Amino acid sequence: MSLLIPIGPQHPALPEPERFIFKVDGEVIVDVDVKIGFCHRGVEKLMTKKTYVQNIYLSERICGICNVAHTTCYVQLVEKALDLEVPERAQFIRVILNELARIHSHLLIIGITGEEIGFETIFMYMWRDREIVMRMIEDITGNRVISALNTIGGVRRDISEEQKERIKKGISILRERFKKYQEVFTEDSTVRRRLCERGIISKSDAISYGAVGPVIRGSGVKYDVRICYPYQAYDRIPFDMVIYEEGDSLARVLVRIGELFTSADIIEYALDHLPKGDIRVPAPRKVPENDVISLVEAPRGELFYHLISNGTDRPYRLKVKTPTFSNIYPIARAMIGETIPEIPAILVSMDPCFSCMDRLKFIDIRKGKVWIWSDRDIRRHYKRR
Amino acid sequence: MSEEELLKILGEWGKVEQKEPKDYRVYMDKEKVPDLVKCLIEKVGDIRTAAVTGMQRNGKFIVYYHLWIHPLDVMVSLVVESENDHFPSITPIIPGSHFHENEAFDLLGLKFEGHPYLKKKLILPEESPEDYYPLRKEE
Amino acid sequence: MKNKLLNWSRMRSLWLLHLYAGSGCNGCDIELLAALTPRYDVERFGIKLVGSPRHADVLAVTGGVTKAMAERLRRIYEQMPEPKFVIAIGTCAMSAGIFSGSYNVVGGVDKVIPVDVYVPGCPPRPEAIIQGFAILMEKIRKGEYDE
Repeated sequence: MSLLIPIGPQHPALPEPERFIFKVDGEVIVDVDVKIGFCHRGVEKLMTKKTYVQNIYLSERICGICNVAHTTCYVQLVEKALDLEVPERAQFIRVILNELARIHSHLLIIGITGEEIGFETIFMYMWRDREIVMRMIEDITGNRVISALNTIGGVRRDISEEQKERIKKGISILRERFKKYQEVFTEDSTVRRRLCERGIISKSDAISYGAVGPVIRGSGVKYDVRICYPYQAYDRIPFDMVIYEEGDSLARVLVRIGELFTSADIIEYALDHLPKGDIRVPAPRKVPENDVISLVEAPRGELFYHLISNGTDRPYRLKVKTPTFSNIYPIARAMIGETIPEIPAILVSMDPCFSCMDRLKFIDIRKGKVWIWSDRDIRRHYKRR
Repeated sequence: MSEEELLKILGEWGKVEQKEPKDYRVYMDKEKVPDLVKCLIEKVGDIRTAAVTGMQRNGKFIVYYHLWIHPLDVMVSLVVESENDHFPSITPIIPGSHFHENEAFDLLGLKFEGHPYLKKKLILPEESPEDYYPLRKEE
Repeated sequence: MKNKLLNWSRMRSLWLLHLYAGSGCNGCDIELLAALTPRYDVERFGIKLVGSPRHADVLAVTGGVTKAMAERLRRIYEQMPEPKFVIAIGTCAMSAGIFSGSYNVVGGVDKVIPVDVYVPGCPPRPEAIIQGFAILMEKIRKGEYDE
């Protein structure tokens, strides 16, 4: 019995703005149009009405899976505007939490990728391993998903020696599992058939179409915010960027698997070199007039925040650019020339937020047929092949 | 090309301000933006649009074009001001600016001239009224 | 009259339709999904996910309702056959939570459809979600619903 993944609103027959509109000739995609904003919540406007401290909790909920990256980017932004120096220990703790969040997010999407290409058990195995990470995150922060550890001026909780040992043990268990996953995705022929040479984005297209994160690194571009525009303690921790040249879906998945290993390395290094000292400094409530930007490498890619402050305790303008927003357009372009059954796997290789894949509209330009499928419908239709 | 050379080129187009290492602002006239972007691509190489911030202040509209210069790993933000809500589009030069400019159009009503497929309600739901720009300040 | 056997069999095989109503962060979705994975495993209670409202007994809604979703949510609820139940998972589904007051958010799920069980939390732990299902199953066992 196959597991149905609850990806957003169901049943394509109900009217609702489509996210992707594919013009097809037979089975080949000739053009793609995109509509987003289904989950538009008006966060940027809400942020101007709340104080800087209240906005920590709002930025956390822009995306539950990437919530650590959002709060890190946000508090970093306000600290820059305040010209506030954050203690080193807090910076290292932030790095550890960011990397744990990266592991959990990558396991999530790689599990879903496996399920999408027919490996139903790999989804279950990866999510079981993800529980180890969730327990570690809960150990440090008190919460599984929404961590609420970052605050303006530092972090709210410290890491004790016992917690250090528990995390190290968890990481060493996970490393063994990561090796197995790497074997599956590099050696299995089903995987290669479904992901290899699909959804290719060239190096120059990746840059001019604005891709970020594993999508741009899978196309051979050396861009990782942690190395190119270092923040927190990343400039004091040695690690390598994971780059693949091919630009296809498999390259993007392999970048994420490679990053599982580098995250494990970073966490172990940070734990071993955790400096002593305070974890938090007091921060003023009002932010002087300033114009600052903050960049963070979220698991999905570059997260960008831009603040214009006006001397009060509320932001005047706070702009948020999420990584998926940058990636949708390049991935939509990459699908031109591909066939319909390949669409779900290519979309998943972008690591979309949920609800992105359920309303796919197709227009056959030759026969004039129009129909709507979800990614599940595509799988069902092409199962015989 | 080094960072100093880049700053010299930018200095010929507008006033350059360094906010932080690797974070520059260039205050310039809006009409010159597409030509500057073309010149930078010619001289420097790979440039990606990271984001486009639109805002309103004291009755004027301000747009930041945030460009990431890949060969040097620096962020250059072109800052332009305008009395009206028309701005030049850099999408014909850097196609990846499409969504960023379109979002500013949806939320603030900033019309990016030259944008090949600017469409309303990329972000907002179909049912919202035509002239509805949620991020505009109430006068 | 509500049959004890009927109630027992209904509660032991709840078919679930999951709907994300637009104004949330997907945190509740991944905790609901986690409840289905081996560590928590709600399938042992007979709960399974289905893809269409016409096959569903329970509508599990996460996230608050955005303007684009309000009509869809109502229509999906109407498509479900009787007897049907709604479980609102998470603070946003209960009251729009931190997003309330936004220009694009209508409010919690009960502004659009009636709700049987509320599971608070931001997000609620998988254990809390399972408790929500247990409360719903108890409600069904006792026959506290309309045919």
